[in-house]
Amino acid sequence: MVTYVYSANWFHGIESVFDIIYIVVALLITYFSYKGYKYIPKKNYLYFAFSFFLIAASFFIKMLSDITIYSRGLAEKSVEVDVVKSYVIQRIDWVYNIQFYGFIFARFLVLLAFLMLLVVALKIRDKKIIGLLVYLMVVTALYSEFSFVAFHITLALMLLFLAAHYWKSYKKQKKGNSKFVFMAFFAIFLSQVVFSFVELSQSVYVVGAVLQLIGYLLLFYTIVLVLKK
Amino acid sequence: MILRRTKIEIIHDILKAIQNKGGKIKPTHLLYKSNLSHNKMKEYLNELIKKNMVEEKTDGKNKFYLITENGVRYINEFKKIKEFSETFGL
Repeated sequence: MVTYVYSANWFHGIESVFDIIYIVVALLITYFSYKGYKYIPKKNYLYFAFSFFLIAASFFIKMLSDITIYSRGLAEKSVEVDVVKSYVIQRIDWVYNIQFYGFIFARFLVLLAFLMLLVVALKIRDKKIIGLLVYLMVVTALYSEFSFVAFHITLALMLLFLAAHYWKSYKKQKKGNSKFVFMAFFAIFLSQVVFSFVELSQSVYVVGAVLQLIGYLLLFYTIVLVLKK
Repeated sequence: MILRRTKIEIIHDILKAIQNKGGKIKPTHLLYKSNLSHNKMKEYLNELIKKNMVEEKTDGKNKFYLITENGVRYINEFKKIKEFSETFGL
């Protein structure tokens, strides 16, 4: 038996709203980056667009999986099954399969997305290094069923490198916009660190989700600033 | 190291040169500002006229190139893309 939902019951609907916000922001960045590629046909724009598209797809799949779990939870509640509170799903159930593959696929997509961002931002060109990173990413995604912590720590590490990169970029450029990109990735990094302690309490999950929301809202604010210029 | 401009950057430079001259420029000025050979400039201008970003007008013996609304829109979009690129380090 595997526990998939760590958030408090009252947070379920709110979390779906958060997911929609992440999807909108990620799609907005995808659009601008792809538009950039149309104007300036550099592959970096295309990879950047694809990374954020994968992030949007990941949140969409996660949202669908969450809805399956919540609706399952409500169904169980109505017939007073005693496992309702922890939302524990039996392996043999078809719902379990949707959730299992949904979560694994969503995690795979988000790891791939941030890995691509890292490769683009840090300009990693060595194919052997990229191959090794992809292997580690696939292993982390596949085993994330057993280790929720490993998944979040891996993602946190990627985000820490991205945040450090944008901090250096801000220091070099001294431009306000890049400061917000740094703050956004740092907030998402913090959210992943918090998520890795999620088994301690349900409120930890809520704190992580709020930090993640702040990160994506900062990315949205950065896009607004770019458009205002 | 001499960095070669991309086609998009050349188009932007041509449009910007016209805009900086108040939206109307003589061919000789444009040739100087765009840093292109006569043939290349002609090639780019024909493309821009076809895409409705530039208009060719004659005033007596003088020929002028005028930037259109589409041309101005292109400059603004290009500026945003550049800003986006610098912000996200692309």
